[in-house]
Amino acid sequence: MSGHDASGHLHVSPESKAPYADDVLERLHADAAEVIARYPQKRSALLPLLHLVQSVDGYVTGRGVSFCADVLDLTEAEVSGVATFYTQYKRHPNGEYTVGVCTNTLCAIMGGDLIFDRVSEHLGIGHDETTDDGRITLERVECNAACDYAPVVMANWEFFDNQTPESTIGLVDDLRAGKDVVPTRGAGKVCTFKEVSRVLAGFEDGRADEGVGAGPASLLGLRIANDRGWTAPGAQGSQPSPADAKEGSK
Amino acid sequence: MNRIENGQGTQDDIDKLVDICDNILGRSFCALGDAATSPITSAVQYFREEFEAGMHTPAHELFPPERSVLFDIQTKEPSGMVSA
Amino acid sequence: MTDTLTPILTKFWDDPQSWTLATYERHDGYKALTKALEMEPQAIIDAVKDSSIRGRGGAGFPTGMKWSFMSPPDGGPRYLVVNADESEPGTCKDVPLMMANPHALIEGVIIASYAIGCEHAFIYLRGEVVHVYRRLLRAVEEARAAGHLGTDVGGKGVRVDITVHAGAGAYICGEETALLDSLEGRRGQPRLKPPFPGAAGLYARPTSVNNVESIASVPGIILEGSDWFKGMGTEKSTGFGIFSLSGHVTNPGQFEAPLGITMRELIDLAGGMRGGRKLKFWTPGGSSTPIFTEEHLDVPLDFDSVAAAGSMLGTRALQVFDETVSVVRAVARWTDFYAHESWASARRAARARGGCARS
Repeated sequence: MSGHDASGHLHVSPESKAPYADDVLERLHADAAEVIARYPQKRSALLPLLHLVQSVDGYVTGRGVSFCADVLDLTEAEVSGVATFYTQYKRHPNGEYTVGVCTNTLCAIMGGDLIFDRVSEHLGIGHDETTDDGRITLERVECNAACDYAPVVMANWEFFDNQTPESTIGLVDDLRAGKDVVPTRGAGKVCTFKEVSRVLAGFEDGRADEGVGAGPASLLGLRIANDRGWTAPGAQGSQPSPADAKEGSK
Repeated sequence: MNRIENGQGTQDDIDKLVDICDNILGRSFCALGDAATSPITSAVQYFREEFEAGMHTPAHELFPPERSVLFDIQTKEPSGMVSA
Repeated sequence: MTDTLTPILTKFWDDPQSWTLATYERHDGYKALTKALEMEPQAIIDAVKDSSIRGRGGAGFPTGMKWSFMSPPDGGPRYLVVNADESEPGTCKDVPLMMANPHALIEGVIIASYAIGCEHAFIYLRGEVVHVYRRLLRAVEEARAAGHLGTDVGGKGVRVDITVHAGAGAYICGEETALLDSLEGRRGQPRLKPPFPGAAGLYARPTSVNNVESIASVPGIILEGSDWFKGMGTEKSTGFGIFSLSGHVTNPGQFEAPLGITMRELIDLAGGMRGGRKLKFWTPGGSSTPIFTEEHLDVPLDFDSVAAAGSMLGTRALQVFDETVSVVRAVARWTDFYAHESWASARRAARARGGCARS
């Protein structure tokens, strides 16, 4: 498999065709078997397996495409046809952290456009480009379902809410400096692109209990209802006594 | 659409937009086709004069984007804010 | 007369570990499942039908009816697929729901699966929300350990399992047939209908595709009864829903309320417009719904009233823009989005097939 960006196919660098080391391949096969077992038909495992390839290679490599084709009995063309359709699959080596600024209408107007421009200028890279140190890939992203926290920035698909140009520049600087960075709503720290790709392949990393359940905007209606004594009718809607609520928030 | 946003639209552009939307509505294979037309037709319906202003004045002059953002803009002039 | 806000799915989002099984059980979690397993599957479908709940994913098709339109059992597999691909611009209710209270969805999936005869359900989550994926995986694991999933659910010999599947970034996969193609490991492109998924969906088997909030509302309907549900909302838009206010209000946020609440009430709860500026336009149900202006502030936000006023209730994604905003700029950006997300490919498909078949 080869290809050119212009054709919409994966651009595959020569080194990506070097075969996987035996131990890596063995682990990939074991993981793939686990993924395939989740589905009644094995082709359904393709999306998670492409995430899995990214967890090893940092992008969808030629050897990764061959691996998927091999374990799923597909052609390489079928696999790369799927890989090129989805924006989370990368055609060239991705930075360790994808920083995505939402520039869909609402976030853009609330400040996302300005944040993107300032961060882009600060890093000296544009959309879908990666810093020379390989740390940050900058992207404009579409609506990520957090509009009540606009403007929103995603770092490796963790939420950074209510951003400003200064806060996002601080975020990318910290990531480049190798500091642990904590999302507003998410895991205890932003994991690397490869680590997150492994989670997206369906392998838990033990971080589910980290972070908050909900941010302040998500809780706004609930807080107002509690203040005013508004409840849903019936037993399910019955109000916990203030004492219970207090105990619960410890 | 982009011509109108940049203040270089024509009366024709507005009519054509509405026309294209009429054509897509109900004929597209999936809901996405209809979805794309809804904001355009309704916006022209309620704010036609703003689209007409797009024949001579760019949107960012009529409505400076800095006024809409949710944070205080600090010192530096926004660069690259002008839509391409 | 119900209260203005009715926290149900959002009721304990402020608990310190709201997402755990332990918290969910403290709030009557899985009691509805116990009750459902004592009922005949058809009785569950009837209860959901009787509640008149309409799909919470945008289209508003009655959930119970969708289930009963599935082809009758023929001994082969039947599927429930939850559409958790929330990506219509402005829509931000399912993601916080799954982050804070994933078990409400899991319990709903188990009950719905039992009702429609599905032994293997899928939750198709968009891939761009990794922490939500962690929470769902963990919730499924907890539910399995508690005996709510597996080959003998609740000790009743019922088989249900759930696979939580992460997508990889493509707006179009929110369309139900594109989502099914994607779940089959293909490019997410819409299928021509008919056949509808109820007849030939996932792997060409009878399938019900339902929104997260619709399925998460099912345990309440089963536990409290359809009359409880119908006691909220309006005659033709029964029950409650999460309303998501974003943009130029003082305090954006989520409000769980009976359908029929007005934008005037919601903006007031959100502390009014930021800095006392004037409202210019708003979307009632995400960016694909025709915009509204100040004159529509008193339109009851239920399916029929919003439609009669010329728009759609959609996903109750209320994006608010004040007088500083150029409507041309906003619309141009939305149009760019739809163009980017293969509007062109959809049009090509329409032309090739001679049009129609709106999903």
